[in-house]
Amino acid sequence: MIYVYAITEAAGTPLPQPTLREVTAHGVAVVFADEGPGGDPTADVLWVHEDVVESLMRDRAVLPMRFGTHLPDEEAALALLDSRRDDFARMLDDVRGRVELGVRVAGRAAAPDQPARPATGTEYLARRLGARREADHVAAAVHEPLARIADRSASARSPRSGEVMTASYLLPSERVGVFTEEIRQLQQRHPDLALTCTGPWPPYSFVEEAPA
Amino acid sequence: MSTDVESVSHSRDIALIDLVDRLLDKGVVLSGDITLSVANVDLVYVGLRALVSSVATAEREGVPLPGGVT
Repeated sequence: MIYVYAITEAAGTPLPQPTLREVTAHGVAVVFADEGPGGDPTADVLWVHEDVVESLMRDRAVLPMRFGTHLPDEEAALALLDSRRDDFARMLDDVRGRVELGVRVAGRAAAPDQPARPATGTEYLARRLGARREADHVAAAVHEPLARIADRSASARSPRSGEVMTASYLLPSERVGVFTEEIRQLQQRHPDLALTCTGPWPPYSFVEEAPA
Repeated sequence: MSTDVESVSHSRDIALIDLVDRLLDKGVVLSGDITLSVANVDLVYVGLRALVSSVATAEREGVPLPGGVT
């Protein structure tokens, strides 16, 4: 078995780490190692995986794999490139020169006089409605200006508890400064919200394939 | 995290939740007749989601996350 870190453009440049190898066909490469970063997905192991992918990103367009992806051998990697070359080429075009930034928005703590549990069904529904309105408000106030700077955006299906928005944005690396400046201004304009921006990440959230 | 973007969060504790979300729930997934270990990782992720807020603590104390892939 080989452990696959990423599909990349066949850059013709040396791989950034000695344990990495690649097979290439049709201008696309599968970058792999004989062994993965470790069996259990602990924080340390995930960071080792991430560091490899980020090092690849420095000089080539990268499609990051889901953590834990193995292939039987190099022949299987070549077969993958043969069968999916159009897919991969199109996806590489979409992300070339771009990075992903993650944005999480949490509301500040609820009003202190509000009991932790709703007393009645009506109160429960009122709270649900309030949460829904808050989410709409945040989408308009925070998401829209950020989406205008980015080329593409993706929202999490369900934000984590306590968060009103979790989203990812794909943008050219040279626009990262503009994006983070917008984050700063949005935070100043909305002291009732807590904005967290992380990245730049490889384009994990923007490598979904078109439905077969 | 690249070092030329000072304004973006560099704290790995803050970024850990986003890292877990991306590596275990996103990225290219191979399917069909390809051999995967991703199926196992998906199972692990069910456990991770609930624990995600305590991951940083677990890491600090050197506790491996539960349900590891073997």
